Amino acid sequence: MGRVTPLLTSRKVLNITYRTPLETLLKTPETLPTEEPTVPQISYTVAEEHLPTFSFPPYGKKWVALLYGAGKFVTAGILHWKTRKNGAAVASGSASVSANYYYTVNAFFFDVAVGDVLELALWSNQTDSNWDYKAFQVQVTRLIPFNKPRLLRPCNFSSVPAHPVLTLGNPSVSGTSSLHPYHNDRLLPSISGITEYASLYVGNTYGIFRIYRGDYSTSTSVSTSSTYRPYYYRNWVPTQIIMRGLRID
Amino acid sequence: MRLTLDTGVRRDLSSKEMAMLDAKLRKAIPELVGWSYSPLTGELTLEIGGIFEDDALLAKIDEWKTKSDCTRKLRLELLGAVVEWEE
Repeated sequence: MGRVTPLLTSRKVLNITYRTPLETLLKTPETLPTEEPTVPQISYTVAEEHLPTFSFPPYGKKWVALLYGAGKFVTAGILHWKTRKNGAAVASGSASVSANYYYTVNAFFFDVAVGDVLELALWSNQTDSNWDYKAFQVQVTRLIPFNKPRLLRPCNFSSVPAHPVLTLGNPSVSGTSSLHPYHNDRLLPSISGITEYASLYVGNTYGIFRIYRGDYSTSTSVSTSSTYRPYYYRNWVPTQIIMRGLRID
Repeated sequence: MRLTLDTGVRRDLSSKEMAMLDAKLRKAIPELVGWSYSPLTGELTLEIGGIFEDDALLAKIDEWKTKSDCTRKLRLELLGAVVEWEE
């Protein structure tokens, strides 16, 4: 008589470790030009060392890059910005900044890969605006733990901290965006902490979750503050998922 | 509040075009805080300050929609909720 394969897999613990964000605070702020600069002030090339690491390799995932640029307006004016990926424009925009206020450009890039060059160009309609801060982190989204089985029972998001945590330049958080769990590629109510699901079916498109900034919403945002720089948006992200697979497919 | 319009145009804007668009938007929408445009999707997202009651908000959206000459899609993001409808 043959041995029967257990219906449930062993308990799997997927730990996701995020890299410390790259941060730079210039000693001397650089004045912003009044036209789009030929060479963007802020540029990062995605490298293996920037990617989150896993306790075991998941079957599928997408990378999202979060890029921040910040500075100050002495005279009230309009900040213009443009993001590029490998030289091609991704987004552009403008924002009002009050006199003596700091601004932070929160830029997001979906589906990046090692070697991609991500850039942020800044300019102003005033001659006394500057920039002096930049930061960068890569996060994971659309995670598919295993090719098979796809039905996870249970699936516990057992650690869901907020990332990135920025430290230089008198930072403060403008907003932390909810995590969007998915069941069979259908959106479940968003979460912002430890959450247990009796079962989740892993869809091919969205996996078991999407982070908000950089995936669910890729819009670049500009936040301003009289006190804080950077004044930034971040995501709730899972750093530990505990699950078993149910072999039905 | 964020309002996303499908402009139907997909191209990289020069800094002069951005300055011109910014001036036009601010003239049409005094409550405008900022905007972003994606040459990949043609979507123009407007960040609008101020708080509007339901009826006033719908009237404002109609007003902005008319001025924007948007062609296809309108998406409204308010307090984290997203409403999307086709023209």
